[in-house]
Order: sequence, then structure tokens, then C-alpha cells
Amino acid sequence: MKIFKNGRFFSNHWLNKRIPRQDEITLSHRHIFILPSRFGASYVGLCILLFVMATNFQNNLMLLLCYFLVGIFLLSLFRCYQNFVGLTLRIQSASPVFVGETVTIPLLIKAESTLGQIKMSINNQTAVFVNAGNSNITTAAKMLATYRGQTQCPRIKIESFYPLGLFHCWSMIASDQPLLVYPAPVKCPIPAADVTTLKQGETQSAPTQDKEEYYQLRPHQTGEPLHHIAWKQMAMGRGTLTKQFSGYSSQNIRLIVPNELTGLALEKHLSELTFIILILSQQQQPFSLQLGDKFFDADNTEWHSKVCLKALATWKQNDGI
Amino acid sequence: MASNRQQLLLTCCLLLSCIALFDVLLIWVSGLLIISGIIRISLLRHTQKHTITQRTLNLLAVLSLVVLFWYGWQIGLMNSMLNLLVLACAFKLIKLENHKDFLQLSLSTLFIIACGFMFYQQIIAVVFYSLLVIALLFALQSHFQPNRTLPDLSTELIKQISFAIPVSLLLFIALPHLPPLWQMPGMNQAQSGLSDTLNPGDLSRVAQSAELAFSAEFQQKLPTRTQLYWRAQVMEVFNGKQWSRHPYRLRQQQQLQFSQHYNPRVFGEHYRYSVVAQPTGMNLLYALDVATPVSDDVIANPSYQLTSKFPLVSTISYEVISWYQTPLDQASSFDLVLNLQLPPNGNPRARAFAKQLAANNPTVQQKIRAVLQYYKQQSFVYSLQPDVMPDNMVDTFLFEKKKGFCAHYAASMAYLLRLMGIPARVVTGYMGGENQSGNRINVYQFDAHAWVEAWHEDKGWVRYDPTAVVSPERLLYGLEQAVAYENSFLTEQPFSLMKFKSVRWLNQLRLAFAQMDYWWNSWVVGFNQRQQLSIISAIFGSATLTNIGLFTLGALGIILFIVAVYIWKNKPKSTSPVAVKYYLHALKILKKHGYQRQYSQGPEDYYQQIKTSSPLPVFNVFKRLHNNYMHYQYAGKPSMSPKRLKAELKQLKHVLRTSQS
Amino acid sequence: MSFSALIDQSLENIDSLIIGKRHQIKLALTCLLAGGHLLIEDLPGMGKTTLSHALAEVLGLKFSRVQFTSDLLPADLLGVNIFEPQKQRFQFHQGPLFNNLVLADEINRASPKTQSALLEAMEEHQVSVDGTTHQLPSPFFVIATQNPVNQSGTYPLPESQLDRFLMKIELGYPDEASERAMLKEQINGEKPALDCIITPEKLNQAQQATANLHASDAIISYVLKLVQQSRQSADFPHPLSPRASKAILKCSKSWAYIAGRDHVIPEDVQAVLGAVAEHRLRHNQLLSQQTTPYSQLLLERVDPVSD
Repeated sequence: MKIFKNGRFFSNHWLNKRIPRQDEITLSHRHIFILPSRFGASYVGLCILLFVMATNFQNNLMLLLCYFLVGIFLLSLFRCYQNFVGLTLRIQSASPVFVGETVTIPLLIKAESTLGQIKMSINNQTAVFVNAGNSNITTAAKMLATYRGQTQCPRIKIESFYPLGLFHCWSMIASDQPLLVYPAPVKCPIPAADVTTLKQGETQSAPTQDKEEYYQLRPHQTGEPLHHIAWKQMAMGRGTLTKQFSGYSSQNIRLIVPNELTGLALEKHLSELTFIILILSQQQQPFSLQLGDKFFDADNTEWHSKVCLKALATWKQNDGI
Repeated sequence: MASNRQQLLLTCCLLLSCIALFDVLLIWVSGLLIISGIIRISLLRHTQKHTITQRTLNLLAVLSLVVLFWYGWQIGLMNSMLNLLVLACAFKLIKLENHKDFLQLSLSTLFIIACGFMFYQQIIAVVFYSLLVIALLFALQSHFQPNRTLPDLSTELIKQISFAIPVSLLLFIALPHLPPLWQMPGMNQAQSGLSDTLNPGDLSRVAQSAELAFSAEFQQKLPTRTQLYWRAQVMEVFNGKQWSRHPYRLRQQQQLQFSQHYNPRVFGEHYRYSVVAQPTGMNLLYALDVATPVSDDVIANPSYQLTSKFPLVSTISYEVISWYQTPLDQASSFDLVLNLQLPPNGNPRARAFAKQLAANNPTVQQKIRAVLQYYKQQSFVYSLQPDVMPDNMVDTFLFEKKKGFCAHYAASMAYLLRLMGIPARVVTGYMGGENQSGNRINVYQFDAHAWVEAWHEDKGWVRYDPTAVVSPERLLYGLEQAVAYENSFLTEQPFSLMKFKSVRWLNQLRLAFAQMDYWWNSWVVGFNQRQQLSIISAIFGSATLTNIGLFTLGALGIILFIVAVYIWKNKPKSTSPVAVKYYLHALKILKKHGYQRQYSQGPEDYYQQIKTSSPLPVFNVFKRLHNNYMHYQYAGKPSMSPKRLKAELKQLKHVLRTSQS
Repeated sequence: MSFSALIDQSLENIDSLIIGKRHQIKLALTCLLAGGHLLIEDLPGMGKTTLSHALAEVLGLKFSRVQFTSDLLPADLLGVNIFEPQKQRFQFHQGPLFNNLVLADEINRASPKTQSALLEAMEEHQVSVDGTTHQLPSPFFVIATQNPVNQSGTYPLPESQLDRFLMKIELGYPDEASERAMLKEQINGEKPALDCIITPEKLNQAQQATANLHASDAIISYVLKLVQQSRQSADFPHPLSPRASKAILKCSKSWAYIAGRDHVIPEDVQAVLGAVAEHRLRHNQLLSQQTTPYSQLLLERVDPVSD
């Protein structure tokens, strides 16, 4: 058992047993941890100091003050616990993000009589504060996505220092839903259709597309072939526009990830493919994807690109850096 | 801005708590604090934008520390520590930036407030400090709950305080009051009352104060006024200028603290009374002759004097029995030798006068009477404003000025008696006091007095009061009457209520305050084991060890009860109508038995789910609850009575249990 | 015969025509009962036109169908003033819009000009031609269809005009059993004839009754919670407008009425929410990372049973 690993108080195994992963949880004594905060500890220290001084100087008023502070401390314990117990939390599935973006795990807090601030954080990263009241609150825990792949939803730490900051009350909740992180898109040239293999960094100019039916103009995006730019429009001062051709092209673009690619090279390649897929699905261009032995047939639907992105994200997930 | 509110409040708390400690703090320390307070407030109100740089601050801090260490030796350890803390707070206040600073500063302020209790223990001071503590808690609370409104926070705080006060009182009454764990460094606080040397001029200065010295509450009868000679200390060494205690006595007293107690032989009738003494910073206690202590930390010594084991840094109360028929006839030969010692020279006229008197009066009795006669026959005057007599004090007083305060009379008489070979000493203490309601006597500083004790072979130490010979009013009516002719009573305190005794309602007001003060001093400030035991014996009849245990446990039980009541009272109350409440309750029960409703599942859906998944009896009961809920909640029809709903719920529980087994 | 029985019967009838689409048919009826216009988005050949036809016949409404193409002009829709030589004056010739139920097929193929003419008529229940205003018949419903894919050469409806449609439904592929039944029927060659079951008068009465249906505070707060959820959460790019919340309640009432209830329950709201809210939440977002429908997400996040 690794205690205090990564700043976490409890081992994951123990936590999973005590607070099983579930989408909705109503906090009870099983799930709540409560300890005096650092401030609470120094407060106790002050109380002890006051007690010693009061006894040594035989000063009853100081003693009374000391007992009063003890009373406040005691009550703080109950209030802090009471504030947390009965809180219903619903963790919702997080939308997939790209590496480097912030994962947002939506949280629904149903509070019956919870007051004061609630802090939410994952792995001690960016904390989100919510001021609870007598209602339903929609909020989110945030975390920076650093690795691609599909992982378990990390534990969300929710904590509160209500009412006087003397106690630190917290719980670590997690849902069963997976967390999907796509590789970070990296800008690269868009390959042309019918290119059998795309090697990293390789650019090939597309064959002329005059067979296709001219469809519309839209703003130029970097990476698109230069010969698609509507030079006439540009000369008229309407900005850089790209001629778009209707998408039912018979040609499809094949994207390939060779099986032998590993390490940094693999990561870079996956990132580039992510970018390409994003651009292609925006243009509704059909493409196919070959990931080692896995093959995804050409399509241009939104669903297809999602499947491909997910495949890229989880490809050799554990080999990644 | 939200964070401004609590910072402003904290700053004010800190400033006020330090202003209250004005006497203790060095002037430049309090000045520094006030300046940093002003800087902080102007920063908060945005009248000033630029903070002081860290470098300037560090430089200033080092400088201040050096100065404080320089002065620290003079003001005593405790005071310099306190000054240091306030200094640190002042610098922290300027740099009040983050969460941690705020918390540190609030704890320090709390400590400074607590220190205030060491110096001021009057009701008014406690009220002031309590307000500060409450304000501080409020600041803390709004720091941790930034988005709540003021009325919201106030009700929350009132709840907490109303919980903490009874708890603290119970703890205070029930937990044992320990004796000091160790000796604390001196406080160097301003000593009030009698000093341990008698300089004739000093006592008249003490008598200018209308502060309470102590109050005594008698159990049955009150002594007569002429019996009220409160012995505080015995002076046995005269160096020609001042009377003081003999070093041997001090050693003796220290020995008595650790060895067996000294108990004077006593008989006859007695008064039993308890005394609540104000802090003096010394060990002196007050009692009528011949006193035997009842309380543990009070020690009697062979000079018939009572002393406390610990200096009176706070108000204490103790119980005494005074055997007023017992003569003070215990003295060792050393005592007698000691009380004949004289300074080698000085006061030549007094020496000559004593020689002459001794020659004319053969017996001790006659000699003493002759001395007293001298005071009576010569036109001696009793005055609060005696002239200064720097050299040959006794000569100047007896033969030139003939005007003095009680200390002059006592000092000169004891000297004359010693010159005539009679062992004599000066006793300082208080004489008289003001009768309060309920067998109580309040003794003020202006009742300070000094008298003489002379040794008789047959009767032991006998008290002689030369002042009474000169000014019988002092003995019979008190100082105010005795000095009425020169209008010198409390001249330094023109607004003291004491001066308006003739105005009836003012006098009643004063007496009411005195009453309150007494109650406060004896039951709060001076509360100790003795009172604790008296409470226990009032409840259980006697204060045996088991009863003490029972009492403590009982009090802790009450605290637990208060906690329970508090939790119960603060339980989240659902304001929803009964139909909804019982339906939700039914859902909870069903969930416990495995029929979970999805979060977003509608009631009708869930009903269908129960219909297909649960045994028929369960469904039948739930059906009624469900229909009631649907009718009430969505069709706008009245609900079943709560009683019926309760019954249905009970039925549901029952059915679920039976269906599972 | 009670109205819900009539509805059941009409459902039965339409269902025999478009097998396995009971829920969608019910939604369409709900939409018409609530007096709103319907948008059907689906691939060609899913029975959009059949459904509209069937609805018109069952409700006994005068029906016309307009196939929208890029060269369709507003006048083709509204009608034109034609000079009559005999009477020596202009006579207004009503366009296909002057019917109780208008099927606007492939609405996104027409030019924005034509689209807006239709949408204006939908909103105002009247048309203006050459300065004269002509009242449209009552009741007046528009069922528009559009093709979700193959958007080339189309003019997608502007976002601001999407919510003129009270509901948007998708028919989707039938399940295997339904399709089998359908094929069998085709072999038999029998096509059931549809009768007018609900007369316009009855429809009018039903509309009145629907408007007066009881919606309790609990239901209103449920609708509010749903709407607020869409506004509070960052997951919804287009929060629901007050018009949307009105639409949700209106459709829930109709749904409850069709179910034969005199009050609204949360399930009614849940049943119609997808059709009423999805197109408002999504607008024309085609490439979105959201795979689960927004309306479903919304429903999942709000507890219908709470105080």
C-alpha cells in the first residue's frame, strides 16, 4: 500500500473498496474523511497555549476564552461534517478532448442544505470553487489532459473548509465512465487522395480535381492545396478563399499507421493523423484508416471520424510516453 | 470586494486589541502598529495604491528587533514577548496578501486578545474583548464563506456562539482547576496597593486610590468596626528612613511553602469569611488576627501573616478563620531580638526623648502610655498631605512638623518603643472597610493603614494604633471623615463615585456596581477549586471523590446533550409537502432493497419498472403511494393524510422485508 | 367517442401505412394538435411524404405538396395576381400554400428567398402579395422535410428560423419486423385506405382543450430546471430560449392530451423533449463532438422527482 503517493492520502485499492466507482453518490459517513486542517491544528495549539498560560497565571478569564474556543472547534467539526453528508453528486461523462486541452468532467451537485464553498480538483490541479446553496448546481472538475488514450475517470477530490476553516472535510469520488483523450493535433500538409502510404512529413501535391463539381467558396485554411485558392476572388479583395468541390469524390484518402512505428515517432505521426482527420471530416472528405492490422473502411461521416480518432487515441496506448 | 470586508474587520480587531494593551506595549511598537493599520486600511479602500517594498519592510523589521532587544531587558520577558508579537503582527499587516497571512494574523490577534485578560479582568474589559473575539470569528467566517450575505453569516455565527458559550461554561465549572504547572516569568505589571517596604510618604499615595483592594464575605456575624485591622505584612527592620521586612522572614516564608504548614495555636470564638483579593503582583494576603487559612494555597507564618503560594497575578479568593480572642503570644527569642534592632545613628532628638521617657516610666505599660500621651498632648495632626521629611524623619515628624499620615505615626512610635527597649514592629494592612449588603465588607486602597505591635511578656504582641489617638475619626468612620477638614480625600480622582456618597442614587449605583463586581470577582475571576467543591457539595451533599467524578461526568454528559440537540435542530428540514416527502422516503426505502430509480427516471416510468420487477404485495403498496404522489404533484388533487401515508410507508417496509425473506 | 380513442384509431390507421413508426406519428400528431409546424429530417425514402399524406387524410385536411427546388420562386408558393381580360382587372390566383396542410418537400433545396416566404407565412398565417394581404385557411400546418446528408447545393435553414418549427423529428430506419411486415403488404398489394377520422371541428375542440390542460407547479419547475440546465452548463452551445420552454410545455400538454390524461406528468415532457428541443440545442451544428443527443444529455441531468 502506498500511502501519500502523489500527494494522495490513500491507496487507490483501498479507496476503490471504500468508495466504489459510481456515477451517482450520496455522501455518507463511509465516504467522508474529516481531519483538522493545518489552520485547525495551529488553532488547537493556540488553545493549549492559552490553557497553560491560564493555569500558570491562574487566570480564569483566559481559561474561559480557551474553553470557548474549544467549543467553537467542537462545533466546527459537526458543522463541517453535516455540511458534507447528504450531498448528492452525479458525475457525467466527459467529452473527449485532445492532449493539452482541459478535460472537463461535468458534475451535478444536489444539495439539500449545504452551505459554504466546495472545492473540486483532480490530482491537485486547477481547483474549481462552487458556492453551494439549497439547489442543484452544475459544475465541473477540470484536469489537464497530458496523455492520449482511454483511461478510467480519475478520482475527483471534493473538499470543504466550512464553516471556519478549522476542519478539512473531503471525499474522493469517481465515476465508471471512461475518459477519452485524443492525440494533440499537429499541423501538417493534407495528403492527396489515392496515396497508398503516407510517410511522416511527406507531402504530395494532389492531382487536379477538375473532374469534380465546383460547389462553393469558403475561407482558406492553412494546409489546403494552393491551387484550390480562388485567386480571382482574392484579386477582387475578398480575402483568401478556397474553392470547394462537392464531396462525393470517388477518391478517398488512405491514412496509415505502420505497425512498427513506436515511441516519439509514433506519437508525432498520430498527432498529424489527428489533425488530418479533423480537417477531412470538416470538408466531408472520405478517408480510410489503417492502424497496424486494424482497418477502418473509407467513409466521410462524423461517426467514422470519431471512431478513427478513438482508434488513434487508444493505439498502443501503453507504449506511449 | 468580498475579501476586503474580512480584511478590514481583522485589521480593526488587531488595532483595537492592541489599543487595549496600551500600558504594556512600548509606545513605538503601538505607533508602528497604528501606522501599518492605517496603511492597510487605505490600501483596502483604494486611497493608496503602492505597498511598501519587501526590502524596506525587512530593513524596518531588523531595526525594530534590535531596538526591542535593547529595551526588552527592562520590561520583563513576558512583556517583551508580547511586544515582539505585536511587532510581527504590524509587519504582517502591511504584507497581508494571501490566505495564509490572513489565518496567521487572525490566530495572533486571538492570542493578543487572550493576553489582554492578564491585565484587565473587569466586566467591561471582558465585554470589550468578547466583542473582539466575536468580530474576529466573523472575519474568519466570511473569509471561508465569501459569497454569503451578512445576515446569513450573522445567524450562523450566533448559532455557533450560542453553542460554544454553554459548553465553555460547563467545561469551566466541571473540569478541575489545576494549580500552576510551573512558575511563569514575571509580568512586571504595575503593582498596586501596599509595597514591601514602608516609606511613610508612600502609604499616603496609596490612600489616594479608590480602587478595590479586596472584599470579604463573612459567614455569620460581622466584626465591629474597631476590630477591622486587616493584617497584610509585618515590618521588622528599620534603617532610619524606612521600615522593611527582614530577609530572614522571606527565607522562612519560602521554606514554609515546601515544608509542613505552620499553624498558630488558637482558641476562643472565630469569624469565618472568604476574601476575594484583587491582583497585586505580590504574595500578600489580608486577614484579621489571628488567622488560620482554610484554602490550600494560603500559608500562615510565625508573624501571623498570611501569604499566597503564588503572586497574585489575577484575582483570587481564599477562605480564612480568624480567632479574635486568641492573643498573639507566640514569638521566638530571635523574634524579640530582631524587633529590638536599631539603626546605629540618626534621629538624635528622638533618642534623647526616648531616654527621658524610659527614665520616667519604669514599666512597659507606662512607657507605651507615655508615648501615646505624647501624640495626644502635642498638637499632632492627621493628614493625607504630609510634608516631605527626607532626613531624620522621626525627629522632623515628632518635634517639628507634627503632621503626618498613619505611617508616620506607626513608624515613629515603633522606633521610640525600640529605643526604650520594648520589642516593637510596624504592621501594614488595611483598616476598616465599607459594609455592603449581605455580610460583606469592601476594602479599598484608601483604607490602607499602618499600626504598631509591641511585645508584652504576659500578653504577647499587642496592637497599638497611634493614629487612633490623634484622629479617632479614622478609626470610627474611615479616612474620608478623618481628612474632611483638609478636603484631601481622593483629590487625584475627582470623578470617583466614592466622592459622591452623599448623593443618594449615585451612591446606590456605586453600591450596585460594587455588588456586581464582587459577584464577578468571586464567581468568575476568582473561581477556583474551593467554589467548585462547594457547588458539588451543594448538589450531592458532600464533595467526595466519587461525587466529583459524577459531577464531571454529568457536565460532559450535558455537553453531549447540547451537541445532540444542536445536531438535531440543524438537521436539514425538508419543506416539501407530505405527499412528496413520503414518496421520496418510499423511494429511499425501495432503493435500499435494490429497486433503484435512475436519476433522470420519471415517476411513471419507475412505477412501471416496479410493476414488472417487484413482487405483487410490494407493488400494491407502492401503487397507492405512487398514485397519491402523482395526483398531488401533477393533477393538483389533495393528498392522503400524513397519518395514512405513514401507515403506508410502514406497510411498504414490512412487505419488503417479508418478500425478501 | 373520446378524442384519445379517435387518436388511437388514427394512429392505428397510419401505422398500418408506415409500419413501426408509432412514436414518430404520435409526435407528429402532437405537433399538429399543439398548432405548430413540423420539420422532418431524414434520408429519402423513409416515408416522410407518406406520413404527411396520411396525416392530412386522417385529419380530413386539404392537402398540397410542394417540391422545393432551387428555381422555385416565392410566387410559385403564395400565388400571383393575373390579369383577367374579361373582367379587366387583376385576379389573385392562390398558390399551393392556401391549403390546411402543406408539405414542403426538401425545404433546404429552395433559395433563401423562397424559404423565408414560407417561414413568414408560417409565422403570420397570412401572405402579402402586391400589397394585399390574404388570410390563410385555418387550421394551417406546414410539414417540411429536409435531407440531412448530401448538403451540396442546398441552403440550410438559418439558425434563427429553425425554431419556427415546433418540432423536428427523424423517422429513421424501421426495425426488421416492421420492414418485413411492410414488404409482405407490398406483395399483397393492399394499400389500406384512410378515412377522415378527426374532423377539423373536433381538432379545433381538442386544441382548445389542450390549451386548458392542467400543468402543475411541479411540472413547470421541471421544465424550468431543464431549460436552466441548458443555460448553466457549458456543454450546450445553444441554450434554450424562453420560446423553447413555452414550446416544451405546449407539446407536453398535447402529448398528455393524446394519452388521454387531464394533467401533465414528467414522462410527457420527456417524451416530447427530443423532438422539441434537439434542433434548438443543436442548430446546424453538423460536425460536433457530441454523439449523444443534447436533449438526452439534458434529461439525464435533471431529476424529475425532487422537491
